[in-house]
Amino acid sequence: MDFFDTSNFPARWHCGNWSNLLGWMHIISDLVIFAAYMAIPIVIVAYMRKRREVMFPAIFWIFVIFIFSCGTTHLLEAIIFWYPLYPVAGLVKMLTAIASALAVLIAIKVMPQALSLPGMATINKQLTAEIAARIVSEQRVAQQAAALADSQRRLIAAQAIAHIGDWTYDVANDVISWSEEVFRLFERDPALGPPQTYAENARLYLPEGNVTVAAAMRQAEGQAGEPVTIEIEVPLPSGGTAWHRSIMRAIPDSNGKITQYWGTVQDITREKLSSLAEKRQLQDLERINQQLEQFAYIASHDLTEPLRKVRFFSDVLKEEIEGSLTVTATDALSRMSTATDRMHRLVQDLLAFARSGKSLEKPRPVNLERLLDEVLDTLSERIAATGAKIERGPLPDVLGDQGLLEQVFQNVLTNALKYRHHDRSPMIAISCERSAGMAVISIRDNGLGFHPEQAGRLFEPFVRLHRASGEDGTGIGLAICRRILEVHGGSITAIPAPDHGAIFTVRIPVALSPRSP
Amino acid sequence: MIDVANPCLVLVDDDIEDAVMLRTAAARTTQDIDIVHLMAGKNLIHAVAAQTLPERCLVLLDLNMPEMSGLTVLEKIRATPDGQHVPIVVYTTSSDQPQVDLAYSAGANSFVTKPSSLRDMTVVLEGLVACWFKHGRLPSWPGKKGPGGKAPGGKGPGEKGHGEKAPSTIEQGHNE
Repeated sequence: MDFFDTSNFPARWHCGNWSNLLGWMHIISDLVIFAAYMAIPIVIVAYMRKRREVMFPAIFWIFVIFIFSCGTTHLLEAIIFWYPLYPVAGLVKMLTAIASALAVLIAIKVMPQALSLPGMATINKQLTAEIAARIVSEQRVAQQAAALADSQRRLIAAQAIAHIGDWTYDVANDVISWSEEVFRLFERDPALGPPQTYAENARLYLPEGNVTVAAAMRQAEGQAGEPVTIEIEVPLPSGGTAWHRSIMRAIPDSNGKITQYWGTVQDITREKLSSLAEKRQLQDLERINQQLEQFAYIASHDLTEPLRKVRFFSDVLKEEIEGSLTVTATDALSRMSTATDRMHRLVQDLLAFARSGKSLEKPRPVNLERLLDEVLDTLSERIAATGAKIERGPLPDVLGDQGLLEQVFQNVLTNALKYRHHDRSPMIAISCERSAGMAVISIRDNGLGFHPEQAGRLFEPFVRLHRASGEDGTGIGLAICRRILEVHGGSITAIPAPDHGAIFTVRIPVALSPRSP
Repeated sequence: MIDVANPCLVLVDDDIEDAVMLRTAAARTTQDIDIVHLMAGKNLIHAVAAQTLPERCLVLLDLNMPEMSGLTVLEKIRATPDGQHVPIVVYTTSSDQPQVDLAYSAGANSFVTKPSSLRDMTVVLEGLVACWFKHGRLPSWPGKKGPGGKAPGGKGPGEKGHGEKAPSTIEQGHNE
C-alpha cells in the first residue's frame, strides 16, 4: 500500500458540501492546534534540558511524543482538504493512540509517587521554616564565636596578669606553639613566632636548664598524663635572668605513644629571688653564729692559757716565799689568787655558754625520771649538808639531749640550794603538767627568791642577783639553761613565789612515747 | 736496768712555759722524772721515724700548736708502721668532750687536761707516773730498731741526717 497515494479519495473540499467558512474554520483551527501542540513539546524539552533534576523524565518524554503526534494529526486534517493523505493520517493517529495509551499507563503508575510529592505551598512553608531555623542557628554560632573570642581574650588577659603562659610541643612534627604570654616571659617578639624546633627552643635556656628540661620531659613521658614541675633559670635577651616554673604533661595517643607535650610557664622570679635571699640570710646567720662560737672558743682557750700560768706561777711564788711575807703581802697574794681563780671560772663558763647554743644534732627521748635521779645523786652531798627536802611528782619522757638537760636541772636545783633562806631549810617541789605537746615542769623553792623587776635579768649571762650572799658563781648557769632550752624548742621562765622563794618553769617538747604519763 | 731508769716523759708543746711548769711540778714529786721537750709536732714525727725516742717513754702531746695541730701529728704518726704503738697521751687545755672523742679516734692512748695549779699539776704528774711507769709497763722499742738497737736517749743516725732541726729542739733535763 502506498501511504502517499491520494487517488482513492477525493480531497476534503470535494467530499461533501463545504461552505468556505466551515472549511476554513476547520483548516485554521487545526493549524492553530498544530502550532500550539508543536510549541508545547519544544517548551517541555527546553525546560527539561535546563532543569536536569526534573523528576519522572520518562513521562515527560511520552507526553512530548503524545502531544507532538496529536499536533501532527491536526496538521494532516488540514492538509487532507487538498491532499487526501488518509493512510498517513491513520498511521499518525495510531501512533498518537499508542503514545496516549502509554502516557495513561505511565501516569497511573507514577500517580502515587507524584501524589506524595509536596505541593508548592508545602514546599514554601518548609523552606521558610528551614530558613528561619538556619538564621537562629547562625545567630547561635555567632554568639558562641563571640563567647569563645571573649573567653580567649580573658584567657590571654589572665595569663598576662598571672604571668602564666601555655605551650604545646608536637613531638612527631617537632612543632612548638606558644600562647601570647610565653612570648612576654621569654621577651621574644611575637612576630618571630615560637621557636621552630626543639633544638631552637633549647637555645632559650642555659646548658644546665636544658638538662633539667630534658629530665622533666623524660619523667613526664614515664608518668603520662601526670604533671611534672620544674623551676628553671632563663637568660633574657634584655640581659637579666628570670626564673620560670614550668609544669608539663606528656599526652599519649590512643596507642599510648607520646605525641604531644602540653604545659604552662609561670614567672616566679620575684618569689625565687626572695627565697634565695632568705636562704642566703639564713646561711649568713648560721655562718656568723659559727664564727661567734669559734670566737668564743678560741678566746676562752687563749685566755685560759695565760691564766693557767699566772695561777701556776703565783702558786710557785707563794710556796717559795711563804713565811717571809708581811700580812699585807700575803693578803695581796691570796686576793690575786682568788681573782685568777674567778677569771678562770668565768672563761670556762663563757666557753660553756658558747657551746650551749649549738643546735641539737639528734634529739632523742630522754627519761626525765632517771635524769632527775642522777642529778639528785650528784647533788646528794649538798642536799644532805643543807638538810633540803625534795618533793617530786611523775615526769614524762622528753625529746632532747640527755647531757644538756642534765645541766639544766643541775643548774636550777643548785641555785635553789645555793640561794636558800638561812632561817629555814630548803624545800624544793618538782611537778609536771602537759600542755600542747610540751612538758611544763615547775620547780619551786622556798629560798631567797627575787624581786619581780629582776625576773628579766635572771637569764642574762654573768648576772648575779645575790652577790652579797657570799656564794661563788659567775652568773652563767641560768643563761646556759635558757640557751639549752631554746635549742630544744622549749623555754625557761621564773617568777617569785607568792610567799617566798622562786618558781622556775621549764618547758620541753614531750617525746612521743607510750611511757609518758 | 729497767728499774734504774727514771720515768721519761716527752712533752710535745710549742709553749716553753708549759715545759717549765711540767719540770717545776716534777721537782715537787718524790720521784726523779726525765722530761724531754719537743717544740713542734714535726719533731716528734721525725723522732718516731728515725726511732730516736727514748726507750720506755710516754709522749705528752699538746693539741693547740701552730703549723701542725696535735691531732694531725697523732694521725700522721699512727699512719706509719713505726708509730703504731708509741704511747701517746694528749695533754691540752681543753676538756671539751668532742675534743676528747676526736683525740681518741685519732689514736690517743689517753687524754689529760692541763692542770692550772701547782698542786693539781703535781697530782696529775704523780698519777701519770704511777699509772704508766710504776704499775704499768711501757714498750722498749720506741727507741730501738729490733734487738741490738740504740740505747735510751741515744742519738741515732736519723737525727744526724736531719741536721740541726731535730736535735736542737730537744732539751733533755733531769731533776735532782
